[in-house]
Amino acid sequence: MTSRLAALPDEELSVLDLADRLLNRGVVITGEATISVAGVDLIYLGLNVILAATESIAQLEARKK
Amino acid sequence: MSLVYVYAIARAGSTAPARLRGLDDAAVRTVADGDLVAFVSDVAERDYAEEPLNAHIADMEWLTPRAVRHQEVNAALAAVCDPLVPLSFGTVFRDAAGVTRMLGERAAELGPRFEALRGKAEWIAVVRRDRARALAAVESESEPLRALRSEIQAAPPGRGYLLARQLDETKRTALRAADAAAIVDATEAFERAQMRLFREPLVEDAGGGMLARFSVLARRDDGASLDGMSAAYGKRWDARGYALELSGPWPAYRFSTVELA
Repeated sequence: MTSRLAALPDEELSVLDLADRLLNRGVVITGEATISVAGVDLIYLGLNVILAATESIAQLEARKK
Repeated sequence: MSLVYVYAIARAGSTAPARLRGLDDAAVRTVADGDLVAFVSDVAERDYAEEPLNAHIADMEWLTPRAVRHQEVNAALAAVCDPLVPLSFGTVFRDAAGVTRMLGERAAELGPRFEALRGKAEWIAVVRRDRARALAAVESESEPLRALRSEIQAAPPGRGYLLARQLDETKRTALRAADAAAIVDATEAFERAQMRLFREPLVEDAGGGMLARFSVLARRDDGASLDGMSAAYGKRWDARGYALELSGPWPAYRFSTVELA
């Protein structure tokens, strides 16, 4: 088991785990709302974009193997 | 023009490690309001406004080093701040005043969140199955399957074909039952250890034999117990083709967002 709390060494980095933690279901503060920078002041990453990114990461990892 | 990118929120008085650098190597600083403090850094509007950010995030070469840096900042903060509410990638405000307003608006909600996360970190737990080994185990353990096999061997071709189809269906049913039992056993092990669980959604046919994924909230120093749980699970299930894999500890990204009830 590798620690992600103290450090994230490149050689142990699982990009997929990272994306899973960081890009999942939007930001803490706004929940699922999409608020543009111009409108209020918070950006929410659209779920479709997140899914596309996660899929790309999976493909990237698959290519590495 | 620059925008303000937020990494995490902590109790007032919390400070970042000296010389901590955030996205695109900008200095991490704090924005405070009342009992709360946000850890932020300046980012360029041309990259982090909604439209360019949504374009960038599909570009792995752009995203990966920045996602890594976001995590490195939160790992460094988690090492010195307890409790810490880490935010997802891409939480951007127009200016520090926006961050202050957000802290003010969310103060009441963040209080219980801090208490739930105090001293805690999260792990990703995956129940994985080796299909061939699991099927072999199911076949050797299941009396109805063994009986069907003997019957097929003794049956004439026409009846044998029907029995073979029945055998396939019986195998699938037995495998589903074994899957369910393997998942329940993992769940119960975490619950016995009084760790909070969140069952992650899984896409159909997730690949890699992944049957279930959980986020597990545990004490930051629970790594050894979790390793022990994974090993004990292996003793119970390895022969049947199942494993419990763990990744962590992570800052509590998931438990900063999921319902606490």
